[in-house]
Amino acid sequence: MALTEQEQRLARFFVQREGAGVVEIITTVDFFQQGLLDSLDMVGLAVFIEKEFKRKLDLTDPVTMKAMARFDSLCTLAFG
Amino acid sequence: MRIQHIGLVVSDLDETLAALGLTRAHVTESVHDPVQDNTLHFVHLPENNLWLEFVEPMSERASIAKFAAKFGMGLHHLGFDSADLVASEQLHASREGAFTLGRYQIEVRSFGGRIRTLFVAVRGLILEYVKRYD
Repeated sequence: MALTEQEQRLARFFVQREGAGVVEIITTVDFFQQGLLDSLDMVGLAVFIEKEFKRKLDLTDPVTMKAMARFDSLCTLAFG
Repeated sequence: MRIQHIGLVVSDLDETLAALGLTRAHVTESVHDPVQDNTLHFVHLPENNLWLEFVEPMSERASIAKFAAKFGMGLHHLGFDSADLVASEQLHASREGAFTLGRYQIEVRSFGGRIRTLFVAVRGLILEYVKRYD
């Protein structure tokens, strides 16, 4: 599935860490279960989103935490 | 602003203590945090008037389990005394790259009894503010 321009901008966070191959699985995996994100990575991701999309995530909100696990819900958080 | 403690994540407490020239006899208190499922072990360094807080994950669901699995042991956070947690949070609220991670209440005799804590991440650095219950 081709990513939109905004999705590609968000995917860059994972590509920078995991390499270009991560794009193949990014829309289907749970980032936490897959080991692509841990608690410290979440901070890095939130910093990235704030810088790239000018949105500040509430990391104390369990709904936000859950949404960060998957790419589609992460897109909604970042620019939806 | 005084550094009150340094938080270190450990996957093997004895190994970390040995690396620092310490033993279990130096541990003044161990407290289980059921919310984050970590056990906190406290060692006081009188030369520095500073506490070391060793954070040991108790399960795979513990908040620092992945950190421990990745690094074995490592610096996790700096702890500061705070007279006002709201003010401490506001200090970072409008800063780019700063995020509140959580607020907790726990009993730690080594820190004076019942305390409230606030965790803030400033980019990659995690800060904990500690306030004794009024």
